Amino acid sequence: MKYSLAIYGAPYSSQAADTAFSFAEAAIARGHEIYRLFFYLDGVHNASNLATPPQDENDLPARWRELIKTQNIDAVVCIAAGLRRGLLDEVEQQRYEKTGNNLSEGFTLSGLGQLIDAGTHSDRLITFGA
Amino acid sequence: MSDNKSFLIVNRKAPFGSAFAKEALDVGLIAAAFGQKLSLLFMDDGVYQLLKNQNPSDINQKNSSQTLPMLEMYDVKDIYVEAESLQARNLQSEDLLISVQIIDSQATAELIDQQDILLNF
Repeated sequence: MKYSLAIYGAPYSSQAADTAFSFAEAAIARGHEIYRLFFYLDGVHNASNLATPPQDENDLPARWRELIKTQNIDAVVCIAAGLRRGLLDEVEQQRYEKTGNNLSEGFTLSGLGQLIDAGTHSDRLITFGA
Repeated sequence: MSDNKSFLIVNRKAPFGSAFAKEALDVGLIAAAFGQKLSLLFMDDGVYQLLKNQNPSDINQKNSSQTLPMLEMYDVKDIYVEAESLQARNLQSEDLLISVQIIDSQATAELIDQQDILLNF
């Protein structure tokens, strides 16, 4: 089955993002396809490459990066939600003349149309953190 | 898979206190702009999103309710409110900013059951 996941929860604030990650891993392990991960609302913080949790805690942003890379998953961060919350790639950093950027490798900033597209082209769209 | 699935956006949270109401409305407008078959449902504290005369500038928030009439411009006519949620909060249809269809919880369950895609906020 083709799944897409909409993730609204920030890491370390709610369990939503951890659950989404576990779901993605389990779906892949069962031979399903992840069509897209869509990060919205506070979920955009999962895409930060500056998150620095203590060493004895689950580094969820790093695990997302690894999963997205090894499984070649389309991972989209809503650009409006991301910019508001300080999630920028190099292009947006230059556009808004900010001092840095922090979007993890493997993620892309794009519009809400990608969420609608995920709903249209997946067998299931599952929300985490509403 | 059909390219034109039915979407239902379920709004269950108060307009302020979290970003859900505002960002849900953004999703609704985009879905409408993409020409999807779109319905909106307001229930639980989500019914407060529809109240007239919201004035959130005192708490440094934009008044997203002013965007609600835009749904009509996008031809979104299927806007539902769960009757029990209104009653529990002593609200009537006259208190609401836009015209909606008020349905009971049984009809709400049927509405949800008919959809291809649910987006909960």
